[in-house]
Amino acid sequence: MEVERKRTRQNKAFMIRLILFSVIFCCVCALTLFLVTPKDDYGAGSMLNFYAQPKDTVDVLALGTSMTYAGVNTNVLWANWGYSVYDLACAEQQYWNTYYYLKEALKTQHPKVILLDAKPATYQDGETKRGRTIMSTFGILSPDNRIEAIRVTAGTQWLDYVLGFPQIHDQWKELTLSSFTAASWTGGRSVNWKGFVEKGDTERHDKPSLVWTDIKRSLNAREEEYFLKICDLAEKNGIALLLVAYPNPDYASDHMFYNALWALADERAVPHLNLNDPKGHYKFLYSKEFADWQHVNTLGSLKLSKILGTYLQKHYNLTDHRGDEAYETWGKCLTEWETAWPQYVNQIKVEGST
Amino acid sequence: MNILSAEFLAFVAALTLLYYILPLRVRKWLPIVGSAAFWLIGGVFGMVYLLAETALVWGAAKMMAKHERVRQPLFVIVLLLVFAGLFLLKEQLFSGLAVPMGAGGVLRFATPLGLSYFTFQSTGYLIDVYRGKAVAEGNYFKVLLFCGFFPQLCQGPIGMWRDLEPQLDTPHRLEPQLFVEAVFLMTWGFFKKLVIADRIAPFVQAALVHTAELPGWLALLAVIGFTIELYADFSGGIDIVRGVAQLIGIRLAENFRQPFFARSVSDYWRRWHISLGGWFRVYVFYPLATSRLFGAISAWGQKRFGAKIGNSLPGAGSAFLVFMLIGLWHAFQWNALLYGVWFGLISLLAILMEPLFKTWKKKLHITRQTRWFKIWELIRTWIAVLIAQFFACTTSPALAFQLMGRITAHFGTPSFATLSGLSYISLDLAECIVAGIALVLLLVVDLLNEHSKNFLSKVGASRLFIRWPLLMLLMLVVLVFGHYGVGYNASSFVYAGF
Repeated sequence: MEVERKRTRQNKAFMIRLILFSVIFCCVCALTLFLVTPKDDYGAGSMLNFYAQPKDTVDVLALGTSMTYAGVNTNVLWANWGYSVYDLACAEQQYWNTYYYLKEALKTQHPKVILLDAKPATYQDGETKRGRTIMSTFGILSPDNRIEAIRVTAGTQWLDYVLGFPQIHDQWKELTLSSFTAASWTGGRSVNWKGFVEKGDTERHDKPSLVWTDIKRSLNAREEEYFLKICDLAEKNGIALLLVAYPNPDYASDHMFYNALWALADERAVPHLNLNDPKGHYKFLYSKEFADWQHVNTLGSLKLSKILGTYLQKHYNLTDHRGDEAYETWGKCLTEWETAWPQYVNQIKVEGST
Repeated sequence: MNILSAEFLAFVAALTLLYYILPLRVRKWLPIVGSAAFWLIGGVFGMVYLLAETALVWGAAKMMAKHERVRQPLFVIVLLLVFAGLFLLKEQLFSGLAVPMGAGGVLRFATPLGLSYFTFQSTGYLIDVYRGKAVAEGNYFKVLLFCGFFPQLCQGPIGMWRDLEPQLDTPHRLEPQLFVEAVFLMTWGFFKKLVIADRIAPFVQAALVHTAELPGWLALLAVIGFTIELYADFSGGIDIVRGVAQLIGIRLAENFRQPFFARSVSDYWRRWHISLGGWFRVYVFYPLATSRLFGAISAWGQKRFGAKIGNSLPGAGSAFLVFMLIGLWHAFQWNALLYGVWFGLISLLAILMEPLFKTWKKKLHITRQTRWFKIWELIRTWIAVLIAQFFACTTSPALAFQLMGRITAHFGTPSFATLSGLSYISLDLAECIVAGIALVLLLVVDLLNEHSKNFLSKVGASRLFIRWPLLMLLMLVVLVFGHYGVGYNASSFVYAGF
């Protein structure tokens, strides 16, 4: 009897030690995982940095692909209208990832307007398992949204990705001293960064040549499902949703997918802004304002963001936060940006803006 | 289910948890339930084959025990049937065949998981019953679990009825120290497989594809790399499965004991794939060496060459045949046969010449403790093992000899200019550093194991502030520096297909 009691006591102590070991090891793993997570701009950086933003300060949340982070120049929107805009974007972000980014974002911010990238309408289902797409979700720190985002992206292999290491452990080769510093918590940039990524190169392109048509090419079923979920989530939280098709030289191949998306958006009374529409007379210079076949360059981002700002001013009642201490990081972001890109300082302002 | 997968670890964790939650009286049935799930995941045909073979062996053993008259013929027939099945399935003579199973299902004649491992275990049991070393078991499920206990289906070790069955038949209580040792063992296994074997593998594979153009030194490096890869891969896998079994209190047979510290070929085979060597020693070597045929050969040898050599002939001849069979067990191919013949010849000569060696050693005052002789023995064994690996790492004798030829005739060539063309076999510097450090660690642990038996157990039993950081560090090293995940082809274990 005594032996039995002693054994039970020993086993209990062992179980406590085992649980303690597991908890400590999980923490060590999480830290290690965070350390080796690539935080470049197309990856997890914008989400990680989003957590550092002052609570309830983001009025306009731009969600989407690399076309969003290269196009929506938050400095232009701040400099001209005092809008607090954040680009929560990463390369090839599908709507099912956008949905979980948004859910996560709503935990700390309550934006008034969401700018939703239309590009994912063109993605095929098979493109969705690409490593970097999944890697981008590693910026989501809450286990619930992170696991769901990965599960819906990776399918049956979701467990390998949820654990993280199978995907990114090899990044140890890329570790530098700065990976161990506090700066890495903000995606390698300071909290002032608002998710905009400058593309300094210029690539000459022709204006897209296409027959303007109403023919639609269906979105893949998952994109459609999650687009509608995003609409529901925005509606539930009282956030205005605006679909934006960013200009790109390869627009001809996207056109019919966008038509299908506009049709879906119309059913949900979601407005859309197609910056490729010739009727809009947006006058993008395809020989000067593009960095590659998809993205505007920094010069293009100035024009694009001015158009967006004007549209937002016309259609939404957004507050000018300039001078408000709670929003000083947007001001600092602008100052830092102007220091880094002095050649654009004279071009940032819209005529007639304050 | 790949034992390197997260699914397998989750399966093992769930099984272990359930095992210790269940009341003691029903605990012993959980391994068979877990094994059944494992067989099912491995494929319906494999499971049906395992059930059928074990039923045949179990039934035959019972019949042999009851009816003396049919004992020998039944034993021979069942043994032939089981080994014929092994031969036909291992050579995949039925591959591509399938039979409809209704509802759109198809039963494929794929090689069952762990075929030769459970075949060796079931026949071992049958031979034990035949020779009166074991009592025929009345409960079919006990025989089934002994043959199909899921960890050992991956790549062994091959267990003996007398060692394993009593453990499987006993419900085990949680033994904290054993549990911690098991976790250490598994982690160390993952380290060997993922950090060492799979890191070296791409270099070895790429090099061995280009045997005709390799400079000799690189060919030698590739063969040494192959040998280390094989050791890290196989022993790593065995450590994992032994750890898994030990989590629920079952100790599987040791399969490796620092083979590269062996001082002779026979010593090497007592340290490398121990359970296979042990099976052949008990069930083939001893019966052969004590058979009438070898008795007659011995008598003839005594008359012809004297008592010493005559007495050695049964052992030498049996060893040669056993090594040939071990070679053929790897594959029914010329290379595998030559692999066995090489070890067989060395063993044969060593046994026959042992009296002569003894005399020489006595004259030269050499004992087992003579330092320079120890080193010579180590080098000699390494060379013998490396020569065998030329046959193991190539697909035909011609290629094996070509590779040897590169070393003897083109050791220093080609020039640096030509070498730049061999960039396909390079590992980057960071990979080389990790591989180098990991190899040093493996060597150190093997050295410590050699001098203080079961070093890992000692670490597992050490104080908490020593074992926790060590275990965490080892786990982290595997997680970060392991070769796995996206971008890699999940390498299966070299010995998993046997």
